[in-house]
Amino acid sequence: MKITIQDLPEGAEEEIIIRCRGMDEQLLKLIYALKSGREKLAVSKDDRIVQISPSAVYYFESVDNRVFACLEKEVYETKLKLYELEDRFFGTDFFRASKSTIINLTKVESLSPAFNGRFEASMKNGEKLIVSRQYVPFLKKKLEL
Amino acid sequence: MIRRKIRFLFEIFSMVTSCVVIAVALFTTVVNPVEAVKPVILWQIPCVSFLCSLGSLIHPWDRTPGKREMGIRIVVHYLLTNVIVLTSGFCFQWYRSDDLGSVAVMLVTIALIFGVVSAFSWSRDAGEAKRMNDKLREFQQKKG
Repeated sequence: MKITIQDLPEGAEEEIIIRCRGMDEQLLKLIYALKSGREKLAVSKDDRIVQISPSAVYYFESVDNRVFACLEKEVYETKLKLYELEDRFFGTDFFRASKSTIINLTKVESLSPAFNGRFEASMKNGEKLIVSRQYVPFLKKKLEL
Repeated sequence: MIRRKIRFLFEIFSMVTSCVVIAVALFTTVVNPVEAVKPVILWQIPCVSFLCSLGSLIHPWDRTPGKREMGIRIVVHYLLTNVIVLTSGFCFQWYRSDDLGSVAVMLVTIALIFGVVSAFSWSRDAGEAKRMNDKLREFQQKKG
């Protein structure tokens, strides 16, 4: 594979163009690593804005029109709407689990059946979240089932 | 979404119909033996099963109810199933309303079928969860 690096003039926007015949798993991993490795998410807590790595987020939750990024122990607020987060993290480890939550699959400890086609996701920090049956097919697709 | 709902309804309908056929077979041969059953029952069974299947739509599809709401919905679903089967059964003369024993047998049958369908759904979901957990491990191992 040929790698070309071009120097850009000051002020020009940096860009990565991938020229390929088709997307394979390795390429997707590379894109994901580029996206998640460099990207930071601006969140706030107690009027203080901080940048966090998306990979540290366990799940995003929408409560009363406010969206929170829940980490292992800390909870931050983000200005982004849930659908914006869903778009932003499309194709990464995050998946929509219900109308109010987006879960990071790498932070899920296990899944167990809840009643009526729903599933309960036990997170690695001990929290439990519901995957509503509307979104179960998307989770299965993500797990290649 | 509509396709998934129809598929879900069809799965429930299939389970309920199977259970009702077994119940009718037991009822007409063991509990209250009859020489012959009327062919019209072949229409009555799927009709009642379909109405009972519709009751499962009482559970929200696209949102997550709390534990209390979920419990209430299960109870309402069960009561609704009783009303559907008892009303249909009365119209189709499956039992005699003046005979308490006959009503009791109907109620027990409804409870058993409701329990069997719920248990079957649960065990199917448990199998699904196991497969998902296996894939989840693979997914997380790949991620290192």
